[in-house]
Amino acid sequence: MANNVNENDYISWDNLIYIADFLSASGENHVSLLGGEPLLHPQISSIIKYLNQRNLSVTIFTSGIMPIDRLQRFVAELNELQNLRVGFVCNVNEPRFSPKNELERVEQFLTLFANRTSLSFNIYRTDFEMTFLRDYIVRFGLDRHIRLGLAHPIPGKKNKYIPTNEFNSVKDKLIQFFTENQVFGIIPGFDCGFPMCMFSDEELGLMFKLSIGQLCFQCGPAIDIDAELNVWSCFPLSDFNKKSLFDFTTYGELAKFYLEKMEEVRSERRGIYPQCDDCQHNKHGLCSGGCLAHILNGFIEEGDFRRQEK
Amino acid sequence: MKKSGLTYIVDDLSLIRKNIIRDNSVVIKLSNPDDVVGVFQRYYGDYNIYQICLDLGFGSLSQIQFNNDWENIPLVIFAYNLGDLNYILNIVGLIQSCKIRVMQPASNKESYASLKILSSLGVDCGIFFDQEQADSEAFLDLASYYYMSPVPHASIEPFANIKENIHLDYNHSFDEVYFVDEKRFLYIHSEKEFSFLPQSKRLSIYLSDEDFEKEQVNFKLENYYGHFMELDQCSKCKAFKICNHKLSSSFNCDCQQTMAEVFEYAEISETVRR
Repeated sequence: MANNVNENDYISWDNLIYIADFLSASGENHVSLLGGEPLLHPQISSIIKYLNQRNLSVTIFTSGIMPIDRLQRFVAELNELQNLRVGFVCNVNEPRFSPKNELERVEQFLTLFANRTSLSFNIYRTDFEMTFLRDYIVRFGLDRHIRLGLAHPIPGKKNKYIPTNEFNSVKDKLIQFFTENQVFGIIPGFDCGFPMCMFSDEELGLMFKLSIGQLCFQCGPAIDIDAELNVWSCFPLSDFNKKSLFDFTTYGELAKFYLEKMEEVRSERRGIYPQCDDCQHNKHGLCSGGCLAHILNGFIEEGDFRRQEK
Repeated sequence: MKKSGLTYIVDDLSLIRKNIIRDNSVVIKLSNPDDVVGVFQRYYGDYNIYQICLDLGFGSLSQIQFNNDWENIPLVIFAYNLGDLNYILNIVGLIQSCKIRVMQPASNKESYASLKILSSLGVDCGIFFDQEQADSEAFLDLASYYYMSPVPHASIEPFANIKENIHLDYNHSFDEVYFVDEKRFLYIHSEKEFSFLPQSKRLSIYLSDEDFEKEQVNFKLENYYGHFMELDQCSKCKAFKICNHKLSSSFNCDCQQTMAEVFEYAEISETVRR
């Protein structure tokens, strides 16, 4: 559920209740709150408590950066209740690219919410460095799971992402980091969009062990809902068949709609590499052939006709 | 005076005496939340307390320090708003376990979202109409939420009452939700006086059965049949069956259209339920 720091763009209670009803009616029991920065919402603790009361556990994707007075109030309000079902995925940047005051804020957040927080790291350049993640985990006693996201293109827009021909250099660094830090019990978790063939069979075996068997190379809908109840398949595909939540009666129906739309695209091109079309692993569903955003981006370069309301 | 089966409404505790209340049930009106537990404990057992009605005026629900003593008290709270939502959410489990209905004013725009929050959390609630006009669109949105929401939630008055009685083959307004129904409630003002409405003509409590029935009929003539005698707008309204003129000046736009839509929602909802 997306928010923005603009006061007028905060999600209304009417819409929040609609979403909670929609998820409850669909038999869902979990919701993630994304940004903007969800923790800047003036009623964020009430929203968490409300969603918990509706039997929805909450994961908040946050930068961890918020004014100290808000952070203190947030901590105090959360501590008023025990057994809250809320966790944080703190998306951190490399310290070398972060201003000092921003780092201090992140560290304050990690100190206060260590027992509820795991780290997330988005790879958007090939010269990335991950040692600081281990340092954060050890220093603050965080959950030993790191969510790894590959930055993908947003079709039709200019954004920083890793081109497919540079996946190999990313892979080498990942394998090196997680092998070196196995002793700390740090477990990688791959977000969607990694193609299986970026790893050799031997590397796959190693990563299977390092990730305690949680390797996943599928790409499917991870539905986003914004404050006005617009829905789309996932962040990189935010312009791909945007619909209204009112068009659907259950989450299953919504996910099926986007899965079918994604399949329509894949019926023309199976994956991000030419060899995906004949790949057995793709046919068997082991690998989706990378992120659909790369495929759509390729279509745009060919001309607009393919993207017209797939 | 014929009074068996009637509920007496009193806001003066000194009137709660056996020679006045007799065997009738009673609604006790209070304005201070600190009095609720004490008053209930004092009169419960000796009297049939139908409900305690706590009117906070412009106060907030969150100003009440709920605790386990509130659990068995049949209570309807009229509050201007929820107040500190964070506090309400901290104690919502306790509120759920109480016999509480929370009423909020239709003229406060905040009320509509607040009532959805309460209802979706399993707390009975409702909207009441004060002197100011209500936003018809927000009222209908709340009605559609109550009647059409796909997940179970607590009742919202007056919609619940309308739905419950819509199958009746006679007109039935939701008066009883607001303790105004000449067949059910009497406002007791003193040892000697009562009225059918808080502000209506005061009558002697020593009326004979026959005279009391005449007054009931007169009251009904003024408030019900009068519309048909004068052929006013209410007499032609298709929602008269559920409204009975009660909301004729309550909205910022056409009340007939608003209440007709509520009537339709309720009919659809009841049909689906059956």
